[in-house]
Order: sequence, then structure tokens, then C-alpha cells
Amino acid sequence: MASLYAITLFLFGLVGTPEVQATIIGYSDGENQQTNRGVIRGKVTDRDSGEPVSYTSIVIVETNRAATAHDNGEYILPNVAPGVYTLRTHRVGYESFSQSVTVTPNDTITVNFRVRSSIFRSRAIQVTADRDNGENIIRAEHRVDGRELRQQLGRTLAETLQNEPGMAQSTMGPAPARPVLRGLSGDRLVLLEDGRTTGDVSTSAPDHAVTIDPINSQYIEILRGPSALIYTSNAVAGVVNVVRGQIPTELPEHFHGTASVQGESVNQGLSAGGAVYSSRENLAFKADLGLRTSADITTPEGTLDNTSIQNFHGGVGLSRIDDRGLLGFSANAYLSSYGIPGNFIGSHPEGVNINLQRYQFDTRYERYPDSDWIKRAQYNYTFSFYFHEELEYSPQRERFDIVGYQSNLITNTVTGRYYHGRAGFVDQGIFGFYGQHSYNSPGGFTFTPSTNDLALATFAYQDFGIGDWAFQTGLRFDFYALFPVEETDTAFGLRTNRTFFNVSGGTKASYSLTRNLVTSFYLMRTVRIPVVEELFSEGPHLPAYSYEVGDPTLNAEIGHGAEWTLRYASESIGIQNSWYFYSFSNYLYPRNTGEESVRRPLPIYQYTGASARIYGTEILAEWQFLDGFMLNGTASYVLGDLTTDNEPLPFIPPLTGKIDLQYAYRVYTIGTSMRLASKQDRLGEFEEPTDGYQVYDAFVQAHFTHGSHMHTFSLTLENITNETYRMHLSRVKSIMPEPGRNVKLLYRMYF
Amino acid sequence: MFRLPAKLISTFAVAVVLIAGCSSDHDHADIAGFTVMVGNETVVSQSGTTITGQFNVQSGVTTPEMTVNFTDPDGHTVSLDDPDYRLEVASSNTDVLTTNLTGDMTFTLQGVSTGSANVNINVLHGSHYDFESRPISVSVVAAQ
Repeated sequence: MASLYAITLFLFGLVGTPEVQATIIGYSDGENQQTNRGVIRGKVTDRDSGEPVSYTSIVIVETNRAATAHDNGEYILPNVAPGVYTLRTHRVGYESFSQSVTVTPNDTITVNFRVRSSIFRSRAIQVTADRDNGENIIRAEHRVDGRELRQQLGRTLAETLQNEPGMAQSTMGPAPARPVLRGLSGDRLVLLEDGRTTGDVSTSAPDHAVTIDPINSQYIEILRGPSALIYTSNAVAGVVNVVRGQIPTELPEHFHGTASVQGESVNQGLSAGGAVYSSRENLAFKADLGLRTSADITTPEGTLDNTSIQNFHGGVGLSRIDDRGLLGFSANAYLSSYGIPGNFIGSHPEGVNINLQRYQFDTRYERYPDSDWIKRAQYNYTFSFYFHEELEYSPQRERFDIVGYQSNLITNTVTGRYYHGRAGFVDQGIFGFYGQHSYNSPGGFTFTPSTNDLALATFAYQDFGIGDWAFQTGLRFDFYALFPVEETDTAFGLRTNRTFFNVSGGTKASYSLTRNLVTSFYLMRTVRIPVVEELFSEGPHLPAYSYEVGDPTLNAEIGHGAEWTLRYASESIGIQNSWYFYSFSNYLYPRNTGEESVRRPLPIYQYTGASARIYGTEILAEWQFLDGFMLNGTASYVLGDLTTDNEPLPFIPPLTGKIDLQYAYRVYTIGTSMRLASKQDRLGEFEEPTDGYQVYDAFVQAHFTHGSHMHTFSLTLENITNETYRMHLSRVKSIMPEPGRNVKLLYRMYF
Repeated sequence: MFRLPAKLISTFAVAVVLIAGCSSDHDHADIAGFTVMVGNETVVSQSGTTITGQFNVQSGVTTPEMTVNFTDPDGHTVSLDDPDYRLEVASSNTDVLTTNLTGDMTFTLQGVSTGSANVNINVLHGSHYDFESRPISVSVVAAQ
């Protein structure tokens, strides 16, 4: 039977039939007689108007080669080795489109695309049909790109994703915001950039920022279920992967790029970013740069002091690409300086200033072996150095010069992935290995020892079908060892070497009930190894108003999850509803010991394991009720309990939702939305209740083509009524509400 | 508004120093309490989380010089001979009470006006704290 991918493509007509959206004509051509290679050429036109659609990128997925349509909509991909390929189109304002083609020796094949404006861009459809990340096997559950990404582009990754179903953000001021998915965050929601770990310490404390700036991201995807096991054993909530494409994987036909400028009023913020792509023969080059600066943020109740942000990131990448694979390198840096506000319970009165830097070097080697089974072999190596320091204010010297916390983290990561085709009953799959060594040396007012961590894993992910059912299954074996540099016996236990070996896995099954209705469910076992903070830490943790200590005897956190999803999609309606239940047999969290630290007057919290459960539902609905008009809404509800103590888990978001109405006419899109949340009075230890709110936003977007340049504008007015509201997951909500009225303008040029 | 270059340059310089060989890995003083003495008389002490004793301060008057001895969890004196260790005595309200270091481990308090303030006796190790005391409440009374 065909794979789920093929089924859903057929079901929802996204790819459609060739006679509707793409035409393929093949004929012999003397152009490539001497090379035995073929040519793909064609024209891209608007399905409704018939006009050429310039600036469409046409990518051969299997070889990463790309061409760009010219002003007349025509494109050409010369010198293509014979074989079966997937062509994929990308264009601002239009749906992406995939088409399978066969290139034969010495032939020119013409593939004309008739692309459709993306006003109705059903995310329910995307989940099953539009979900490949260039690797064609790993399917994301959700993807944010194009117009949606430009509209939601925020100061941080968490802010950019906050309106997605199931998403919230935990904040401690505007900079250190972290995505929360279904009430899970920190180490339970893995954040990746270009498929690799961020190499920072953002999971260890809520005041630690994530070293990803979304301004230069190409798209953001959320993986959940068995496919997440390719990246981690700890994927109960999922994996968020921000694709920036630092190592070029396509050979652009000509020099091109993007340039973006974004300004916002609520914090006098200005950010700018750009990326350029070029090639010379088989060498592809990419460089990108981003800069962000903002002053203290303004709320309806005043300015929140010490919340400014300054970020810089940049990178260069170079690849040698041919029909047999690629060898690529990239180097990048991320530097940030931001403030944490003070004057909330446990905080430093003047706040804290944080400086962080991350430097990374990546290498990728890919081959397309002459094998009927292995389609692609991919190897990656990443070196990362991360430095982080938190400076507290000294009243005596009247400056921020007391180091509260410091970290130096050096990480080396190696991965190997093998993408294979049909084998027995399996349609396609991936297997591979993962190895990571990291050395973390904390400093400042912390007694946490320096440690070496070693992680080794092997994994497999497979697609197959049985009868009318489509399955994806994943299995992963992890070995993890943690070595303190010095073995010490403390009041909280013996800090000594720890090793863990665990198995995680999951299976997802999908079934088409009707032409428009698909149901799926999955079962997962996930494993989260305790991190160094949970095992060995000792030191004040002002954001949590606690003196946190680890427990060197902790075992791994084992999670079992189940999810059921129903999706309906037609030409004008898309609905997706998910229900999930996660159970943890050793949920790790800091528990109040009832004692106080003698080193700093703070209550001692020690990490411990307890049974817990998290369960909830999400719904997403989209309806194109008139030509050009679309109404869509999302709602998310999650509950969490510590079942051992029969009390609610802290930092669980309330019922949240968003309703928006959009109208698109030619190159213009306007819309208005309402974000809402109910009050949260289901509280964990030491939590304060949070009132519900309704906040209104509006936006206008446009895109114009002028010569070889395309210009996009996105003007967003957030919190139109200047409503005073607080988010439950804000750790500074007691001193200040969320930002007030904000005018945000993004201009992006494609050239 | 644009403060990026100076901050980034300074933090970049810190990183270069760290990469070049300085590690944040180091020992901390294992301090669990202290005694403040005037001559041979203990005035204030902290044992565990408990403060015992009080400072008597009059407005406009400087106290006699006081000496701090820090102790470990077993009550033994902790040696802070390393020049990286510094005593910090901080007042929460300098309109009422000011502090003055007179030696490596000695200090005086001076009443400025009548009122209340807290005093913290801390140990700085390089650029970070190794110990922060419980706040010691001080009432500054009118001079007699």
C-alpha cells in the first residue's frame, strides 16, 4: 500500500493531479546528448489569473538543487542526472507544491506549475500532506513559515510561536522567554536549530535565554511522536526545530538573498537581518547576519526596568554540491546582552544583567550512494562553545559587577543518518547514531561541580503500511554518562559518576476514514536523563526564589504518552482536534525541603522524582467562508498533576485560544485577531492566580514584485486597546503586566 | 538606545580570556556562619540560619571597630587569607546607617539618623559571593 504521505496528498489534493496544477512534457533534446543527462524546465503561473509567478524557487528535493523563476515565470534546471525526483516550489504568498518527475537520459522534461494563492493555507492539511523538511521522511506535526511567520515574528522564538496550538511562553522579562508546549518546557521540550542542539544552558533556568533569534529563520517546525526520536529520547512534548539553513544544501542559479528590517514601538525595538546565497560551479555560499536592539519594554502600567535586549548573530556557510552529495561547513556566532527585571519576590532589587555568547562550527557530509536501498547517508559534526554570565548589582560600587552565575559549556556532537528506501514491509526510513560530549564548568555563587557528559545513541525510524493503515515507528537506545571532575561527599549526597542506559520508542498509526477525514494516534515511551543541575547542583536560584540542590541518586524520568487526533480537510474547511495523556513515573522537579540555606537566606529546594500526569486537548479550525475571507481559531487546554502528592503541577497555562479573521485580495492580506485566556486558579506550590484576558490585534500584509526584487510588508498592531493583562507563565507578572499597545512593522525584500 | 557594540565588545573580551585558559572552576570557602566581636566580646553571630545578638548604634556616633570571624558547618574558623576573599558589610538604608571597612576583616558602623536598617555581612570571592548573611536588624537610636 502507498505510504501515508501519498495517501494524504491524494486525499487533500494539495499536490493535486498533474492536469490541474502541473503539466509534464518530455521530449528528446540534443542539448545533453554528450552527458547523458537531462534538463527540467518549465513555467510557473498563477492558477487563478494565469499570470507568470516570478521568484518561485523550484527545488529538486533529492539533490538540493534549486532554480528561481524569472520575470516571465520560466525556470530551467540543466544537467540533471537520470532518475526519479520530487520537485518542490516555494514562493511568498503561494502554497508550496510538490511534483514527482522522471528524468531520462538526453531528454528535456517540461514541468509547468500552476500555483495557488495561500489565503487558505490549512494547517490541518499541512499536518499530513505538506510536511516534509527536505528530507522527505521526517514529517513535522506543524510548521510556521511564509506569511504566518512574518506576521508572528517576535523578539524571541517563544513569542513567535506563542499563538500556535498548545503553545505558551514562560517569560522572565522579554528576552529569556522559552516555548512551553502542552505545559512542558525546559528539558522536556527540545529546541533545535538546523536539527542540532543549541549548545546553551537555556533549559537550566528560566532567566537563561534561548540562543536562537527567529529573524533569519526560514521556517519553524514542531515534531512530535516517533519522528522526534531521531533527535532525542526526551520528546514527550515534541521537538521545535528552527531551520536557518546555515550550511547551504542547494546550488542557487544566481546570487540572491533576503533583507529584513523590523521595528516596534513598545520597546523602541529595531532588528535587522539578511542572508545572501550564491554559487560558483559546484560551490554554494551562504552568509547571514542579524542584529536586534531594544530599550526597556512599556506596559499599560509603566515601563518595566532592565528589560532591554541587544543581540547579534551571524554566520557563513560553504558547501560543495554535486549529484552525488555535498560537503559543507558553517561557522556562526550568537552574542546577546539582556536584562532581568528586579523587585519581585526573591529577585535582586535592581535586577540582573546577563551576557552570553555562543560560537559554533558545523560540518556536514552527504552522499547519495549507488544503492537501491540507502538513498542518502548524512554525517554532521558540531563544535560549540558557550559562555554565560549573570551580573548582580552592587550597591556599594553602584554597578553590575557581582557574578551571580557563570557557565562555560563546550560541546562536541557527531551524528550519522542513513535514509533508506523500501525494505521488506517498510516503505522508507532512517537509522543512525548520535554522540555528544560536553564539558560544563559553572562559576559564580554556585557550588555545582564541573562535569563531563557523554551521550551515545542509536535510533531507527520507519514508515510502513498494513492494509489501509499507515504507520510510523521509532526506536532509540541511549547511553548517558556524567562525570563530575571531582568526586565530593556533600550534605546532599555523594557527587560521583553516574551512568544511564535507556530505551525509548513509539508508534503512530493513521487511517483514512473518508476522503476528507483522517484519524491517527500514537503511543510513546520517552526517557529524560537527569541533567547536572538535578543531580549535582547547589546554589541560589533567584528566579525561583530558592536555593536549589540536586540529588546525586536520581534516576531517569520515564514518560508514557498517548495521543489521538482527528483531522478533516476540504477545499474550504480544515479542522484538527487532538487529545493527549502523558504519564510520568519519575517526574523530576524541585521540592521544598522546609529548610533554609545558611549560605544565602533562601529556602532549600531539592530535586526529587514523583509520579505526575499531564493531559489536555487542542483544536484548530479554519474556514474559508467567502472567496478571500478566512476565519480560523485555535484553543488549547492542559492540566497537570503531581499524582504522588495529589496537587497541581506549577506553571501550567490556562485555557487559551485565538480567533482571527483574514481577507486576502491580490497581494494584500488584512486581518484581525483576538487572543484570549481564562483565569488560572489551579495552582502549584507558591503560585499566584492569574486573571483571564482578551487582547485584540490587527495586521496588514502586502507583497510586490518590482523587477528582480520582491518586497513584503507586514504591519501588525498588537494589543490595540492597551489592555492590562498578565500571562500565568510570566515570572514577573507580580510587578508588571504584559506589553501594552505595540505597532510592529516588518519589511522584507527578496532579491 | 543602541548599546550593542560596547557591551558585546566587553563580553567578547571576557570570553577570549576564558577561552585562553581561565576556567570558572574553583573552590569556594565553606562558610556556614560568623561571629562579630569587639575585643573579646561577641556582639552578633550567625550559626546556621539563626542570628544572635544585636548592634547598638546611636545617631551621629561611630561604633568601636568590630572583627568578623567566619566559621564552617562544624564551627571551626575559616581562613580567608587568600586576597581573592573580601569582606562586605552592607547597609540596606544608608540614610539611617552607613558601614565602613577598616581592615581585611574589621569594620565600623555609623548612625546617620534614627530609624531602622538591615546589615548584611558577606564574603566576596573574586567577583562573586561565597556567603551572604541573614539580614541583621539594626535600630539607630538618638545619641545620649
